[in-house]
Amino acid sequence: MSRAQDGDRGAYQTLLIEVMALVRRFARRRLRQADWQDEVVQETLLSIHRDRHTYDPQRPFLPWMYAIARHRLLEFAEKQRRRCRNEIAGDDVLEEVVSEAMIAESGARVGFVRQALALLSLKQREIIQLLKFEGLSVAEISRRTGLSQSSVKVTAHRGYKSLRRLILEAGL
Amino acid sequence: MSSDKIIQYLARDLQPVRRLRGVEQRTLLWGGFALSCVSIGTYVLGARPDLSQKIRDPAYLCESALLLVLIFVFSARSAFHLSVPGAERSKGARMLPLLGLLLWACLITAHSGHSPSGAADSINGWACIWRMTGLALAPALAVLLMVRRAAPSSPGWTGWFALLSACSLAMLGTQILCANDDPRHLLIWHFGAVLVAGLVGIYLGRWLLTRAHVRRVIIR
Repeated sequence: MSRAQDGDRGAYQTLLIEVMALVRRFARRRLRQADWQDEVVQETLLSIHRDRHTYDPQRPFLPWMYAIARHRLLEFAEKQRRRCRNEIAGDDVLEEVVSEAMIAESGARVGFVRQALALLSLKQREIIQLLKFEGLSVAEISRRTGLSQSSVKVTAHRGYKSLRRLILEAGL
Repeated sequence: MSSDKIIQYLARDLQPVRRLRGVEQRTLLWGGFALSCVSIGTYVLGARPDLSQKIRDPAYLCESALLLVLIFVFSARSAFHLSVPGAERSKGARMLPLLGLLLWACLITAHSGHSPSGAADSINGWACIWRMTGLALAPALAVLLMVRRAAPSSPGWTGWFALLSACSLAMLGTQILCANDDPRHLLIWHFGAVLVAGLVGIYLGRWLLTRAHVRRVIIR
Protein backbone atom coordinates (compact mmCIF):
# COMPACT_ATOMS: atom_id res chain seq x y z
CA MET A 1 0.00 0.00 0.00
CA SER A 2 2.89 2.26 0.77
CA ARG A 3 4.15 1.78 -2.79
CA ALA A 4 0.66 2.37 -4.15
CA GLN A 5 0.55 5.68 -2.28
CA ASP A 6 3.69 6.63 -4.18
CA GLY A 7 2.01 5.78 -7.49
CA ASP A 8 3.27 2.23 -8.21
CA ARG A 9 0.47 0.85 -10.42
CA GLY A 10 1.70 -2.73 -10.56
CA ALA A 11 1.94 -3.00 -6.78
CA TYR A 12 -1.47 -1.43 -6.46
CA GLN A 13 -3.11 -3.88 -8.84
CA THR A 14 -1.55 -6.84 -6.98
CA LEU A 15 -2.71 -5.40 -3.69
CA LEU A 16 -6.27 -4.83 -4.89
CA ILE A 17 -6.51 -8.40 -6.19
CA GLU A 18 -5.49 -9.69 -2.76
CA VAL A 19 -7.83 -7.25 -1.05
CA MET A 20 -10.69 -8.44 -3.25
CA ALA A 21 -10.19 -12.05 -2.13
CA LEU A 22 -10.02 -11.08 1.54
CA VAL A 23 -13.05 -8.80 1.42
CA ARG A 24 -15.04 -11.35 -0.56
CA ARG A 25 -14.40 -13.91 2.18
CA PHE A 26 -15.33 -11.28 4.80
CA ALA A 27 -18.58 -10.45 2.97
CA ARG A 28 -19.44 -14.11 2.29
CA ARG A 29 -19.47 -14.81 6.03
CA ARG A 30 -21.96 -12.00 6.59
CA LEU A 31 -24.15 -11.86 3.48
CA ARG A 32 -25.95 -14.70 1.78
CA GLN A 33 -26.59 -13.31 -1.69
CA ALA A 34 -23.68 -13.31 -4.10
CA ASP A 35 -24.66 -10.00 -5.73
CA TRP A 36 -24.77 -8.34 -2.31
CA GLN A 37 -21.31 -9.70 -1.55
CA ASP A 38 -20.08 -8.30 -4.87
CA GLU A 39 -21.53 -4.90 -4.10
CA VAL A 40 -19.74 -4.76 -0.74
CA VAL A 41 -16.47 -5.90 -2.34
CA GLN A 42 -16.71 -3.23 -5.02
CA GLU A 43 -17.65 -0.48 -2.59
CA THR A 44 -14.70 -1.47 -0.41
CA LEU A 45 -12.27 -1.40 -3.36
CA LEU A 46 -13.50 2.06 -4.35
CA SER A 47 -13.29 3.32 -0.77
CA ILE A 48 -9.77 2.00 -0.39
CA HIS A 49 -8.85 3.89 -3.53
CA ARG A 50 -10.52 7.10 -2.40
CA ASP A 51 -9.13 6.96 1.14
CA ARG A 52 -5.69 5.56 0.36
CA HIS A 53 -4.06 8.76 1.63
CA THR A 54 -5.31 7.92 5.15
CA TYR A 55 -3.26 4.72 5.38
CA ASP A 56 -0.31 5.16 7.69
CA PRO A 57 2.62 2.91 6.64
CA GLN A 58 3.69 2.76 10.30
CA ARG A 59 0.51 0.83 11.08
CA PRO A 60 -0.53 -2.65 9.89
CA PHE A 61 -2.56 -2.70 6.69
CA LEU A 62 -5.25 -5.27 7.53
CA PRO A 63 -7.01 -3.41 10.38
CA TRP A 64 -7.21 -0.35 8.11
CA MET A 65 -8.63 -2.42 5.26
CA TYR A 66 -11.11 -4.33 7.41
CA ALA A 67 -12.30 -1.10 9.05
CA ILE A 68 -13.20 0.21 5.60
CA ALA A 69 -14.83 -3.11 4.64
CA ARG A 70 -16.82 -3.17 7.88
CA HIS A 71 -18.11 0.36 7.34
CA ARG A 72 -19.06 -0.39 3.74
CA LEU A 73 -20.87 -3.52 4.93
CA LEU A 74 -22.78 -1.58 7.60
CA GLU A 75 -23.62 1.11 5.09
CA PHE A 76 -24.84 -1.52 2.65
CA ALA A 77 -26.98 -3.18 5.33
CA GLU A 78 -28.51 0.18 6.18
CA LYS A 79 -29.17 0.90 2.51
CA GLN A 80 -30.84 -2.48 2.10
CA ARG A 81 -32.97 -1.91 5.17
CA ARG A 82 -34.12 1.47 3.82
CA ARG A 83 -34.75 0.02 0.38
CA CYS A 84 -36.78 -2.80 1.89
CA ARG A 85 -38.82 -0.38 4.02
CA ASN A 86 -39.61 1.81 1.01
CA GLU A 87 -40.55 -1.17 -1.12
CA ILE A 88 -42.86 -2.47 1.58
CA ALA A 89 -44.52 0.94 1.92
CA GLY A 90 -45.13 0.95 -1.83
CA ASP A 91 -46.61 -2.52 -1.54
CA ASP A 92 -49.70 -1.48 0.37
CA VAL A 93 -51.69 -0.64 -2.77
CA LEU A 94 -50.44 -3.71 -4.57
CA GLU A 95 -51.30 -5.94 -1.65
CA GLU A 96 -54.79 -4.52 -1.63
CA VAL A 97 -55.25 -5.45 -5.30
CA VAL A 98 -54.18 -9.01 -4.61
CA SER A 99 -56.36 -9.27 -1.50
CA GLU A 100 -59.34 -7.84 -3.34
CA ALA A 101 -58.89 -10.34 -6.14
CA MET A 102 -58.73 -13.13 -3.59
CA ILE A 103 -61.87 -12.19 -1.77
CA ALA A 104 -63.79 -11.19 -4.90
CA GLU A 105 -67.21 -12.71 -5.31
CA SER A 106 -66.27 -14.13 -8.68
CA GLY A 107 -64.98 -17.62 -8.32
CA ALA A 108 -63.20 -17.21 -11.63
CA ARG A 109 -61.01 -14.49 -10.13
CA VAL A 110 -60.11 -16.57 -7.12
CA GLY A 111 -59.37 -19.42 -9.42
CA PHE A 112 -57.17 -17.21 -11.57
CA VAL A 113 -55.24 -15.88 -8.60
CA ARG A 114 -54.60 -19.44 -7.50
CA GLN A 115 -53.41 -20.30 -11.02
CA ALA A 116 -51.20 -17.20 -11.09
CA LEU A 117 -49.80 -18.16 -7.70
CA ALA A 118 -48.79 -21.50 -9.12
CA LEU A 119 -46.60 -19.65 -11.62
CA LEU A 120 -44.59 -17.95 -8.87
CA SER A 121 -41.43 -19.41 -7.40
CA LEU A 122 -41.91 -21.93 -4.61
CA LYS A 123 -40.68 -19.48 -1.97
CA GLN A 124 -42.86 -16.60 -3.15
CA ARG A 125 -45.91 -18.86 -3.39
CA GLU A 126 -45.39 -20.30 0.05
CA ILE A 127 -45.01 -16.87 1.65
CA ILE A 128 -48.02 -15.31 -0.10
CA GLN A 129 -50.15 -18.32 0.81
CA LEU A 130 -49.09 -18.09 4.43
CA LEU A 131 -49.73 -14.34 4.48
CA LYS A 132 -53.00 -14.25 2.56
CA PHE A 133 -54.64 -17.66 2.89
CA GLU A 134 -53.53 -18.64 6.36
CA GLY A 135 -53.40 -15.05 7.67
CA LEU A 136 -50.05 -15.41 9.43
CA SER A 137 -48.01 -12.34 10.35
CA VAL A 138 -44.55 -11.63 8.92
CA ALA A 139 -43.00 -12.53 12.28
CA GLU A 140 -44.82 -15.87 12.39
CA ILE A 141 -43.77 -16.70 8.83
CA SER A 142 -40.21 -15.73 9.67
CA ARG A 143 -40.25 -18.17 12.59
CA ARG A 144 -41.86 -20.92 10.56
CA THR A 145 -39.63 -20.66 7.48
CA GLY A 146 -36.41 -19.63 9.17
CA LEU A 147 -36.11 -16.56 6.90
CA SER A 148 -35.50 -13.11 8.33
CA GLN A 149 -38.49 -10.76 8.54
CA SER A 150 -37.04 -8.45 5.89
CA SER A 151 -36.46 -11.43 3.63
CA VAL A 152 -40.11 -12.47 4.04
CA LYS A 153 -41.23 -8.94 3.17
CA VAL A 154 -38.96 -8.72 0.14
CA THR A 155 -40.08 -12.13 -1.15
CA ALA A 156 -43.74 -11.18 -0.68
CA HIS A 157 -43.12 -7.88 -2.45
CA ARG A 158 -41.58 -9.63 -5.43
CA GLY A 159 -44.42 -12.14 -5.47
CA TYR A 160 -47.01 -9.34 -5.45
CA LYS A 161 -45.22 -7.68 -8.34
CA SER A 162 -45.31 -10.86 -10.41
CA LEU A 163 -48.95 -11.43 -9.47
CA ARG A 164 -49.86 -7.93 -10.52
CA ARG A 165 -48.16 -8.44 -13.87
CA LEU A 166 -50.07 -11.70 -14.39
CA ILE A 167 -53.38 -10.14 -13.31
CA LEU A 168 -52.86 -7.17 -15.64
CA GLU A 169 -51.92 -9.43 -18.53
CA ALA A 170 -55.10 -11.44 -17.97
CA GLY A 171 -57.12 -8.20 -17.95
CA LEU A 172 -58.74 -8.84 -14.60
CA MET B 1 -19.02 -3.45 -13.86
CA SER B 2 -17.17 -6.47 -12.48
CA SER B 3 -14.72 -6.24 -9.58
CA ASP B 4 -11.81 -7.18 -11.88
CA LYS B 5 -12.66 -4.32 -14.23
CA ILE B 6 -12.83 -1.93 -11.28
CA ILE B 7 -9.37 -3.06 -10.16
CA GLN B 8 -7.97 -2.51 -13.64
CA TYR B 9 -9.61 0.90 -13.84
CA LEU B 10 -8.33 1.97 -10.42
CA ALA B 11 -4.78 0.71 -11.04
CA ARG B 12 -4.63 2.33 -14.47
CA ASP B 13 -5.58 5.76 -13.14
CA LEU B 14 -3.51 5.61 -9.96
CA GLN B 15 -1.86 8.86 -8.95
CA PRO B 16 0.57 9.39 -6.07
CA VAL B 17 -1.10 10.83 -2.97
CA ARG B 18 0.13 12.98 -0.12
CA ARG B 19 -0.08 10.83 3.00
CA LEU B 20 -2.07 12.09 5.91
CA ARG B 21 0.06 12.74 8.98
CA GLY B 22 -0.31 10.33 11.91
CA VAL B 23 -3.34 10.71 14.17
CA GLU B 24 -1.34 11.80 17.22
CA GLN B 25 0.65 14.28 15.17
CA ARG B 26 -2.50 15.84 13.73
CA THR B 27 -4.08 15.98 17.18
CA LEU B 28 -1.02 17.76 18.57
CA LEU B 29 -0.87 20.12 15.61
CA TRP B 30 -4.49 21.12 15.99
CA GLY B 31 -4.25 21.23 19.80
CA GLY B 32 -1.33 23.67 19.53
CA PHE B 33 -3.20 25.82 17.04
CA ALA B 34 -6.37 25.84 19.17
CA LEU B 35 -4.45 26.69 22.34
CA SER B 36 -2.69 29.57 20.57
CA CYS B 37 -5.99 30.94 19.19
CA VAL B 38 -7.73 30.79 22.56
CA SER B 39 -4.73 32.22 24.43
CA ILE B 40 -4.45 35.17 22.03
CA GLY B 41 -8.22 35.73 22.13
CA THR B 42 -8.30 35.63 25.93
CA TYR B 43 -5.34 38.00 26.15
CA VAL B 44 -6.96 40.46 23.72
CA LEU B 45 -10.34 40.39 25.49
CA GLY B 46 -8.77 40.82 28.95
CA ALA B 47 -8.85 38.45 31.91
CA ARG B 48 -11.26 38.83 34.83
CA PRO B 49 -9.99 41.29 37.45
CA ASP B 50 -9.86 38.72 40.26
CA LEU B 51 -7.96 36.07 38.31
CA SER B 52 -4.95 36.13 40.65
CA GLN B 53 -7.27 35.16 43.53
CA LYS B 54 -9.29 32.67 41.52
CA ILE B 55 -6.30 30.59 40.51
CA ARG B 56 -5.84 29.78 44.19
CA ASP B 57 -9.40 28.44 44.40
CA PRO B 58 -9.25 24.59 44.20
CA ALA B 59 -12.76 24.34 42.71
CA TYR B 60 -11.86 26.75 39.91
CA LEU B 61 -8.65 24.85 39.22
CA CYS B 62 -10.46 21.50 39.21
CA GLU B 63 -13.03 22.84 36.78
CA SER B 64 -10.32 24.18 34.50
CA ALA B 65 -8.34 20.93 34.65
CA LEU B 66 -11.46 18.95 33.82
CA LEU B 67 -12.23 21.17 30.86
CA LEU B 68 -8.69 21.01 29.62
CA VAL B 69 -7.83 17.36 30.11
CA LEU B 70 -10.94 15.24 30.09
CA ILE B 71 -13.02 17.22 27.65
CA PHE B 72 -10.65 19.15 25.38
CA VAL B 73 -7.83 16.59 25.10
CA PHE B 74 -9.91 13.41 24.98
CA SER B 75 -12.51 14.86 22.61
CA ALA B 76 -9.81 16.02 20.23
CA ARG B 77 -8.15 12.61 20.32
CA SER B 78 -11.47 10.88 19.72
CA ALA B 79 -12.34 13.17 16.79
CA PHE B 80 -9.01 12.55 15.06
CA HIS B 81 -9.01 8.83 15.79
CA LEU B 82 -12.54 8.49 14.42
CA SER B 83 -11.50 10.18 11.20
CA VAL B 84 -9.05 7.46 10.17
CA PRO B 85 -10.19 3.90 9.33
CA GLY B 86 -8.78 1.34 11.70
CA ALA B 87 -7.64 3.97 14.21
CA GLU B 88 -11.04 4.16 15.92
CA ARG B 89 -10.78 3.63 19.63
CA SER B 90 -13.01 1.59 21.90
CA LYS B 91 -16.46 2.81 22.91
CA GLY B 92 -15.10 3.23 26.46
CA ALA B 93 -12.60 5.80 25.22
CA ARG B 94 -15.47 7.73 23.64
CA MET B 95 -17.11 7.93 27.05
CA LEU B 96 -14.22 9.82 28.68
CA PRO B 97 -15.29 13.28 27.43
CA LEU B 98 -18.84 12.49 28.53
CA LEU B 99 -17.50 11.56 31.94
CA GLY B 100 -15.70 14.90 31.97
CA LEU B 101 -18.95 16.72 31.18
CA LEU B 102 -20.73 14.85 33.94
CA LEU B 103 -17.99 15.62 36.47
CA TRP B 104 -18.03 19.26 35.45
CA ALA B 105 -21.79 19.49 36.02
CA CYS B 106 -21.39 17.75 39.41
CA LEU B 107 -18.62 20.13 40.40
CA ILE B 108 -20.73 23.19 39.56
CA THR B 109 -23.74 21.79 41.42
CA ALA B 110 -21.65 20.81 44.44
CA HIS B 111 -20.18 24.29 44.56
CA SER B 112 -23.60 25.95 44.50
CA GLY B 113 -23.86 25.98 48.31
CA HIS B 114 -20.78 28.19 48.72
CA SER B 115 -21.49 30.84 46.15
CA PRO B 116 -23.75 33.86 46.24
CA SER B 117 -26.56 33.81 43.77
CA GLY B 118 -28.54 36.50 42.09
CA ALA B 119 -31.38 36.42 39.61
CA ALA B 120 -29.70 38.98 37.37
CA ASP B 121 -26.63 36.81 36.97
CA SER B 122 -28.21 34.36 34.60
CA ILE B 123 -29.45 37.15 32.30
CA ASN B 124 -25.94 38.25 31.39
CA GLY B 125 -25.08 34.88 29.95
CA TRP B 126 -25.24 35.88 26.30
CA ALA B 127 -21.91 37.64 26.63
CA CYS B 128 -20.35 34.30 27.58
CA ILE B 129 -21.96 32.63 24.58
CA TRP B 130 -20.51 35.24 22.22
CA ARG B 131 -17.09 34.96 23.87
CA MET B 132 -17.13 31.19 23.58
CA THR B 133 -18.28 31.34 19.96
CA GLY B 134 -15.62 33.90 19.06
CA LEU B 135 -12.85 31.95 20.74
CA ALA B 136 -14.01 28.62 19.29
CA LEU B 137 -14.55 29.78 15.72
CA ALA B 138 -11.06 29.33 14.27
CA PRO B 139 -10.27 26.07 16.15
CA ALA B 140 -13.66 24.61 15.24
CA LEU B 141 -13.23 25.44 11.56
CA ALA B 142 -9.71 24.03 11.59
CA VAL B 143 -10.69 20.77 13.26
CA LEU B 144 -13.63 20.24 10.91
CA LEU B 145 -11.43 20.85 7.88
CA MET B 146 -8.76 18.52 9.22
CA VAL B 147 -11.11 15.62 9.94
CA ARG B 148 -12.86 16.19 6.63
CA ARG B 149 -9.58 15.70 4.81
CA ALA B 150 -9.33 12.25 6.41
CA ALA B 151 -12.08 9.65 6.07
CA PRO B 152 -14.50 9.92 9.00
CA SER B 153 -16.71 6.87 9.14
CA SER B 154 -19.04 8.17 11.88
CA PRO B 155 -19.71 11.78 10.86
CA GLY B 156 -22.08 12.47 13.76
CA TRP B 157 -19.69 11.25 16.44
CA THR B 158 -16.73 12.95 14.79
CA GLY B 159 -18.62 16.26 14.59
CA TRP B 160 -19.69 15.93 18.23
CA PHE B 161 -16.13 15.39 19.47
CA ALA B 162 -14.66 18.04 17.19
CA LEU B 163 -17.00 20.78 18.38
CA LEU B 164 -16.97 19.59 21.98
CA SER B 165 -13.20 19.87 21.98
CA ALA B 166 -13.05 23.28 20.32
CA CYS B 167 -15.83 24.70 22.50
CA SER B 168 -14.53 23.26 25.78
CA LEU B 169 -11.20 24.98 25.20
CA ALA B 170 -13.02 28.17 24.23
CA MET B 171 -15.05 27.84 27.43
CA LEU B 172 -11.85 27.52 29.44
CA GLY B 173 -10.86 30.86 27.93
CA THR B 174 -14.32 32.25 28.73
CA GLN B 175 -13.93 31.14 32.37
CA ILE B 176 -10.78 33.29 32.51
CA LEU B 177 -12.74 36.24 31.09
CA CYS B 178 -16.04 35.87 32.94
CA ALA B 179 -16.10 37.03 36.53
CA ASN B 180 -19.53 35.59 37.22
CA ASP B 181 -19.24 32.56 39.55
CA ASP B 182 -22.92 32.05 40.17
CA PRO B 183 -23.54 28.29 39.83
CA ARG B 184 -26.74 28.82 37.86
CA HIS B 185 -24.85 31.02 35.43
CA LEU B 186 -22.08 28.44 35.13
CA LEU B 187 -24.54 25.61 34.66
CA ILE B 188 -26.69 27.31 32.04
CA TRP B 189 -24.32 29.58 30.16
CA HIS B 190 -21.04 27.73 30.47
CA PHE B 191 -21.82 24.02 30.84
CA GLY B 192 -25.06 24.24 28.83
CA ALA B 193 -23.37 26.16 26.04
CA VAL B 194 -20.63 23.54 25.63
CA LEU B 195 -23.21 20.76 25.66
CA VAL B 196 -25.35 22.50 23.02
CA ALA B 197 -22.25 23.18 20.90
CA GLY B 198 -21.46 19.46 20.99
CA LEU B 199 -24.99 18.61 19.89
CA VAL B 200 -24.75 21.15 17.07
CA GLY B 201 -21.53 19.35 16.15
CA ILE B 202 -23.49 16.14 15.54
CA TYR B 203 -25.65 17.84 12.91
CA LEU B 204 -22.72 19.78 11.49
CA GLY B 205 -20.74 16.56 11.28
CA ARG B 206 -23.52 14.73 9.46
CA TRP B 207 -23.78 17.63 7.06
CA LEU B 208 -20.12 18.45 6.47
CA LEU B 209 -18.37 15.16 7.07
CA THR B 210 -20.68 12.70 5.33
CA ARG B 211 -18.82 11.56 2.28
CA ALA B 212 -20.38 11.56 -1.17
CA HIS B 213 -21.26 8.14 -2.49
CA VAL B 214 -18.01 6.54 -3.46
CA ARG B 215 -19.10 5.55 -7.01
CA ARG B 216 -20.21 9.08 -7.78
CA VAL B 217 -16.80 10.40 -6.77
CA ILE B 218 -14.60 7.88 -8.54
CA ILE B 219 -16.49 6.52 -11.52
CA ARG B 220 -17.73 9.43 -13.53
